[in-house]
Amino acid sequence: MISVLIADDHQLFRQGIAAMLGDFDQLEIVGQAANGQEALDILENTTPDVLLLDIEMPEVDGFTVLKTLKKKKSPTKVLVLTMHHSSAFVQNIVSAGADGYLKKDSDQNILLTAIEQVNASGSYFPPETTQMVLQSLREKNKQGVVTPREKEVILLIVEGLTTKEIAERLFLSKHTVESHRQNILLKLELKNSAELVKYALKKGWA
Amino acid sequence: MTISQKDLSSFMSLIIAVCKLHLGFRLYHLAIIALLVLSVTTIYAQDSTYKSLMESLDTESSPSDDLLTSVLEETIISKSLNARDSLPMILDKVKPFLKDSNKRMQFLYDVINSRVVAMQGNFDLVFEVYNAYQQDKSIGKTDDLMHLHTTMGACDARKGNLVKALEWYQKVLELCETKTDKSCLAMGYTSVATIHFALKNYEKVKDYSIKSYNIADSTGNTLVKTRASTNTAVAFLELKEYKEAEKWFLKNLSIKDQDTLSIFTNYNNMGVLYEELKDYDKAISYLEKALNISKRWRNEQGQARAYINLARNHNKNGSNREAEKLYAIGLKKTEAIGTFDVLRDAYLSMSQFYESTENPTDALEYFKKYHDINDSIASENQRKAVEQLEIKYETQQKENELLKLSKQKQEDELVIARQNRRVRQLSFGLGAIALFGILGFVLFRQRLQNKKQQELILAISETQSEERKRIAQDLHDSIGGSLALTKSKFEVAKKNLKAPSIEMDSALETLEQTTQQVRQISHNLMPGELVRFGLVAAINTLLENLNEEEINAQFHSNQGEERLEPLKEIQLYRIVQEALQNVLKHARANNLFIQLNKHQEHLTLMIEDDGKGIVQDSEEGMGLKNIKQRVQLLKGIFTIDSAPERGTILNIQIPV
Repeated sequence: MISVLIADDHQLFRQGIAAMLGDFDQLEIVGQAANGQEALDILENTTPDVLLLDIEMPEVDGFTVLKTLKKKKSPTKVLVLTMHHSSAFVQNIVSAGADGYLKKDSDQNILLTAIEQVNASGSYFPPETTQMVLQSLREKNKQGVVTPREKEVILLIVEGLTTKEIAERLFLSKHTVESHRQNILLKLELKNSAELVKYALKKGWA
Repeated sequence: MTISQKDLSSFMSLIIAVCKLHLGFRLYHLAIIALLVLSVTTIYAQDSTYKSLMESLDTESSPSDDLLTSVLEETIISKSLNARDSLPMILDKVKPFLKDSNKRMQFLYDVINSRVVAMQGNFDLVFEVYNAYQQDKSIGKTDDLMHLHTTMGACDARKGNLVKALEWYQKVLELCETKTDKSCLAMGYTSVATIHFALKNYEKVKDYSIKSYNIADSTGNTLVKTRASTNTAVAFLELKEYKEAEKWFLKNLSIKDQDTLSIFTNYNNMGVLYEELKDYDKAISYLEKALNISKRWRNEQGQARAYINLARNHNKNGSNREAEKLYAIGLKKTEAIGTFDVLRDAYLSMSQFYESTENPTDALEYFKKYHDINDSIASENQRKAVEQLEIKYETQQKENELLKLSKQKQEDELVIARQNRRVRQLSFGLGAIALFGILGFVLFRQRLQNKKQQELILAISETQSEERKRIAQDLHDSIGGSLALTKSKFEVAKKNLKAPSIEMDSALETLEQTTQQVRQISHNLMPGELVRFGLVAAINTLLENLNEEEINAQFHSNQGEERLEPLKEIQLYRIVQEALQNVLKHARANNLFIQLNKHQEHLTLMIEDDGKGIVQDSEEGMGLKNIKQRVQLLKGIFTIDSAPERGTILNIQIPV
C-alpha cells in the first residue's frame, strides 16, 4: 500500500484526483492540502510515501515546498502534477528537488504508474518529457556556434575589410555588422578582431 | 455707500487674515501662466532633430511641404527650449509657403499661431481654430487632437473655467493612454496639477506633479521637468512641508538649460520666498530680475505679475510712493489681460496696500473685487464637479483596460479558432456541447464565489502586465486544471464502455483541443516561464512549441538565469513573439536565429531569418511598428536589415 498526500489549491481538481485514485486498492490517500503551507504542516506529523504536488499555489507555492523538503531530507517522494509543460519548467523543478513529473491531463493509469515508479525507483518522467528536456539540452550544446551570416562576416573580417565595407558587401547597416562582430567575439570567447582572424585561420575557414 | 469705522476695522482684520492665508497666490499663479506656454511644447523631438530642421529651413529658398510640415510638427511638440522663444519667427518663416492644398500644414500653423496670440491674453483665435478644426476628419491623428484639446484646456484654465479645463485635460490624458508611448502623460499630469492648484487641492497638485516629474525625467523632457518640480515645490510650501519644498526647489535649480519662462519663474519664486522671510531688499532685487526678463521676453502676463509683486514688497519695505506707482502700472496691465488669477492676486495686494496707507475705502473696494473673483473660482460647486470628473476619468481608465484585455483575448482566440476550425467541425458533437454547458455553468458559479474574482476587479487599476499575469495564471491553472481533470475522467469512462463510441472519442478530442487552447491563450497573455524563470527560459519555451517542420529555430544567449527588470523582460519577450509571428506568417524562412547577448553596456537582441525579406507596405509593417514602439519604450536602438531573398535581421540594442 502506497500512502499518498495531495496538495493542490483547486478543490475540484483535488477531489477529482482523490476520487480517481480511490479506484486503486494499492493506493491510500492519507490527506489533502489546499496550499503549500498546509502540505508542509501535514508533513510535519506524517510521512506519506508520495506527495502529489501542484506548483502554482497561493502564498507558499510548490517550489517552496520542494526546497523545504529537500533541505529537511524528507523521505517522501514528490511527484509534481502540473499544467506547466516546458523543459525550462521541468529542469527547474528537478533542480528544486522533484522526484517525478506529470502533466495534469495525464491518463488515470499513467498517474498510477508514475506514483508506483516514484515510490519504488525514486523517479518518474514521461518519455515525451524526457525527450523534450534532452532536446533542449542538445540545443544548449549548439550554443557558441556561429550562424551562416556570422560566418560571412568573419570571412570578410579575415579579408581585412572595414565594417563599412562589410556592410556594403552584405547589404547590411554598419550598426548590424558591428553587432554581428560583437556577438561573434562573445560567442567564440575572443577579445578582438585579430584573435578572430587567428581563430578563423586555425579552423580552416579562410 | 457709507461704511462705519467699526465695520471697516473688522473688515480690515478679515483682510489681514485672508492675506496670510493666501501667501501662495503669488507663487502658484505661475503654474497657470506656465500652462499655456507649456502646451506649445512636449515630447519626442530631439534638440538635434529640431536644429537640423531649422537649418534646412534657413537654407532652402523654396522648402518642400514635407520640410515645412516637419518643422511645424517639431515646433508644436518640441521639448526644445529655444523653440518656444522663437515661435513668432518660425511662424513668419513658414507663412509665405502655406497653401490651400495642404490642410495639415495650415492646421499646425493655425494652432501654433493661436497659442502665440493667446500668450498675449487674447483667446478668441484659439476658439476659432478649435471650431474650425474639431470636426475636420483630415485632422484625425491622436497627436493633432491632443494639441487642440490642450490648447483649449489652457484657455479655459486661464479664464477660470476650471471644470471645463479639466475636461479638456482628461480628454488629452485619455488620448495619450491610447498611445504606446506614454511620455505625453507627463504634460497631461502637469496640466491637471495646475487645475488642482487653482482649487487649492495641494495634495493632488503634489501627487500629479511628482508623477509628471518622474515621467518627464525618464523621457528627458526638461521643460516639463522644470514645471513639475516648481509645482511640486510650491505645493509642498502650501502644505507647510518646508523641507520637501526646499528639496524640490533645489531639484528645479539643478535642471540645466532652462528657458526664459522658467528663469522668470525661479526669480519670481525666490522673490516671494524672501518676502516671506521678510528680507524685502533681496525680494525686490529678485523680482526686478523677473520683471526685466518678462520685459525682454515681451510677456505681458509676467510683467503684470512682477509689477504687482514688486509693488507689494516696496509697500512692505516702507516705500509707499514707489509701491503706488508700480501698482498703477501693474493693475493697468493686469486688467488689460483679464486673467482671473492675476487679477485676483492684484486686487488682494492692492487692498492690503490701501489698508497700510490708511485708505480704508479703497481697501474695502479692492477687497470686494478680490472676494468676487475668488468666490467664482474656488466655489464648492466647482470643487465637487472636479471631483466627479476625476472619478469619471478613473472609471473610464479601468474600463479601457478591461476592454483592452478582452480585445486581446478575442484576438488570440480568433487565431487559434482559425487554426482549429477544421478539426473542430468534425469533433463538435452534441454531447460535447452539453458537457461544456454544464462544465461552464459549474465553473462560472465557482468563479463567481471565488474571492479571486473580487481581487481581480480590485486590481484592475494596476498595470496591464500584472493583469495579464493573473489572468494567464488563472486560465492556465484553474480552468486548465479542471479541463485536464475532466479529460482524465472521460478516459476512465471510455475504458468502462462496452463498445467503442464515436461521440466519446470526438468529445475527448474536443477536450484535448480546448485544453491546448486555454494553454495557448494563457501563454500568449503572459507565459509562466517569463514570470518565474526569466526571458531566456521564456524564449526557449516559445521556440520549443514551434513545429520543427515549419522552421528550424535556434536561440543563443549569454544571459543564463540572470534576470532583467520586469519591464525589459516583458517588452523584449513581446518583441520576440511579434518577430516570430512575422517570420512564420510572411518570411517563408527555413532557419531562424535568435540571439540575446549582454555586452558591457548594452543588451543586443538579434532576430535573423533566411526568408524572402520584407516586402514594403505589407502586413508585416504593423508588427514592425509595434516592435519599434516597444524598443522606443526601452530607449533602445532598432535597425532592420532586409534584402530580397537575403532574409531579414532585426537588430535591437537596449541600454543596461
